[in-house]
Amino acid sequence: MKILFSMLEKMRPLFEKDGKLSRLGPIFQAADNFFFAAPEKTKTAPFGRDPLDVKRYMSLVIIAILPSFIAAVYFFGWRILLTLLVSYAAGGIVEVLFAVIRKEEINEGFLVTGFIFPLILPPGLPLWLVAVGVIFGVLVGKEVFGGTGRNIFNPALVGRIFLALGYPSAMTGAWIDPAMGKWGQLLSPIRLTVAEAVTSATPLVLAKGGTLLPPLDLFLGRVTGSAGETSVLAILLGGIFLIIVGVASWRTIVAILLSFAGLNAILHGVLPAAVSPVWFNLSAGGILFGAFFMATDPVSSPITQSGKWAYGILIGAITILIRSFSGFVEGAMFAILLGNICAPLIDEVVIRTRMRRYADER
Amino acid sequence: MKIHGGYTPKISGKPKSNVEELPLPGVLQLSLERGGLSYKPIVKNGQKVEFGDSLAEASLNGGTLLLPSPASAKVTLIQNNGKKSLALEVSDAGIIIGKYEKFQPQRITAEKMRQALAKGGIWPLFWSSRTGEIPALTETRLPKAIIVNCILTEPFRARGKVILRRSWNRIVAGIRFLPRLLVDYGTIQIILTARHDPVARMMYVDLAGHALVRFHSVPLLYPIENPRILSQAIRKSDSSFKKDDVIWAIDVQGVEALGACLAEGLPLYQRVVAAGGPGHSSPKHLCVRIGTPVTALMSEDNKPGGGKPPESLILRGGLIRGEPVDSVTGAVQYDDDAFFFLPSAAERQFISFMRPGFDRTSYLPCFASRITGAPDRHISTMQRGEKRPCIACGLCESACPARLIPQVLHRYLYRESLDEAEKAGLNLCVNCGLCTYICPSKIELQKQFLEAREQIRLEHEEIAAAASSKSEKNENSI
Repeated sequence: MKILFSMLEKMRPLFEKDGKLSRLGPIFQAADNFFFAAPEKTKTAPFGRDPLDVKRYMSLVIIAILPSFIAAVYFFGWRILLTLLVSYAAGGIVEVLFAVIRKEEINEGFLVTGFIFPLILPPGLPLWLVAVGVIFGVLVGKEVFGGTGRNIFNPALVGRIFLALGYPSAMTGAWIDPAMGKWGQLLSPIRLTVAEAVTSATPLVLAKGGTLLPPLDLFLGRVTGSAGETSVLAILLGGIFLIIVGVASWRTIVAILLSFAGLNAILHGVLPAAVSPVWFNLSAGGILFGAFFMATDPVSSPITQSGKWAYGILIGAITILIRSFSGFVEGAMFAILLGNICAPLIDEVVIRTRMRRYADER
Repeated sequence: MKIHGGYTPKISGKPKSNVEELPLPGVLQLSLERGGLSYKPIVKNGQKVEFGDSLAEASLNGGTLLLPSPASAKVTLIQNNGKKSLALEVSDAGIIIGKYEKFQPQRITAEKMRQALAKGGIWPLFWSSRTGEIPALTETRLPKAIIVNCILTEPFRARGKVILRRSWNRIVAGIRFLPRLLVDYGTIQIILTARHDPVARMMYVDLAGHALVRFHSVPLLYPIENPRILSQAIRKSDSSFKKDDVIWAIDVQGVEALGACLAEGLPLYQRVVAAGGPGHSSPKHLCVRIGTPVTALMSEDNKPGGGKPPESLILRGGLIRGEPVDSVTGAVQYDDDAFFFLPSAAERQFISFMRPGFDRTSYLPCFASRITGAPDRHISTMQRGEKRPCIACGLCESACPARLIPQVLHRYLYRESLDEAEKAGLNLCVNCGLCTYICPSKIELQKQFLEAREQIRLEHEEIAAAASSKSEKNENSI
């Protein structure tokens, strides 16, 4: 620890304003502040500050997604780890490049995007596509808007939709059958390509044909699907943690799930043949993962507390509508993106209403 | 009574509840600029004054406020960096009971009471909802209610319970005088933690027949002590208040001084201050004469050359609103009740964001201290994180006691649209600083808001000036 500290201190002059490597300053600073707490002091009141910072905020999200990641590795093999590394490497290069060009600090938000991305992809997707997707997501979904905090879309989602629309056959051909044994895929070797892997239909596709998979398989995640979204158990574990520590907005999650389940119940009551029951729709596909980890992204969701209700209701309702009445079997992804688009509008309405109240108070 | 948002960080170094009486120091220092008032000395350099003699005066809309001497002493005028102050070389430590006229609550007229309070130095401790600061001395719109606030939640201001226990009689005496300042059938609104606690009952019995008293219980959440938040909450809880009814507020120490002034003829001469925080080795409440230097509040360990020297920044006021005070020349002034010892920047912790955090407490329950209930022992002048763009986490909105959305204001100010920010309620901000305290992106919201408000004020003044000159021109042309 001390050695590391003195090493960093020795290197510091190189990266400072007049140093030889001053252009790479953001990289050094990111490493420095990763290992040791930021050295800045307060200059104005309040002179003491809350210990929560963006680093911890983002690392809590990663901790919450860990159970889903572990479930993905268990059911779909160590290849998931490989896709994660590719996602971090490719996305990280874009993030660092932009930080260096803009002469800004490297932002922690990327760590979450890079972690979520492989989990919302079919587990057998070729690695180069993973890289292409994450690069597109980070570049177009985030950097062109000015980086973390200024993006209007969830970057991981942008990457996912790019792949879904740009490489539809690769995406639909990359589903892997989950492991069934006691040890899952933990003991099998890493496969770079999955040509030999058995591809099969996801629960939602099967449901279109009238087959509902057993609830226990869905709950544990022993079904085909995007790497991280299959295990309800893992998502709930992480999601509840996220709500307890207060990082995810419970309003968004509750609103999505209620509107999704409510509309689903009504539709199932009216058209039992076309719409699957609530328990199935809730546990199959990406709605839970989306509700807990994607829609709650604070930057791309509405910033007002009451706006989050409207946002959640919108996403939940659109998801079930797309699932039931469109050519797509899964609607969570598009619904969240649509929610992202509407978020500033929702905010505007909430803020205008508030402004009227402020005018009264004055 | 409820408030929106609010948060009291749990910090180590909470002052003990006994009050230690400090001996009178040899020299007292009085600042002539306090609470937005600028006092002009009315004594000569080297003049000898008696306890309670007037030292300086400040004009306030409608009258003159006086600054009484807290001790018998020889006066020296000091000018330091353009800031005027008085140094008093104490010659006699005694206080003179009955220095001023004593009154009975039933016999005093409102006019006499105002004069006595202005002379005794107590008037500036009042707050009026009409001016947003000290009420004018000749205010014709009398308040419909006076809030007596016994709850101070900011870490660590002198606690109301401590003062109530110490000076019960004076406080009760003070409250008996208050109805004289009110409109007919105006009420005294007393703020306590629990409405049914024995203190409320005792007060009720002691005040029976003297004042129309209402008790309110409030949660112990900062910034409940903010008079604007309190008066808004009272308006909401009681429908008999109209929008333009005036409400005044005073805290429990102010009422104590008021009681001492009117019933015993004493000027404002002492304060109970809380000296606490992680940088203080024996946090406690101290009763000190006004003008006592800050060095006297330090424990032996804290003093230069003492045992272990944890370098500390001394904040006048609490942790969140406090401003740094010079540890050598700083002194307790008439409106001080807290000095927070904030340790200077600690060492940079190794991978601090991954630690469970048994010694850190946050607004979000994301540190292990939430399970153990441990206070924050790690707080210092460190910013505790890097500045980042707003991630719209919404913590500021949930904590804001004025029901504003600070992040929206920040957004508007970031793109320099003052107009929008004003419409979004910027002027309703009560300056509690809570949003800035909890912001994970470490954005200086409070500073930004203060600067923007100042700019808006200037713009309004300019517009008003332009409008008046225009109307003058029109008159001339006619």
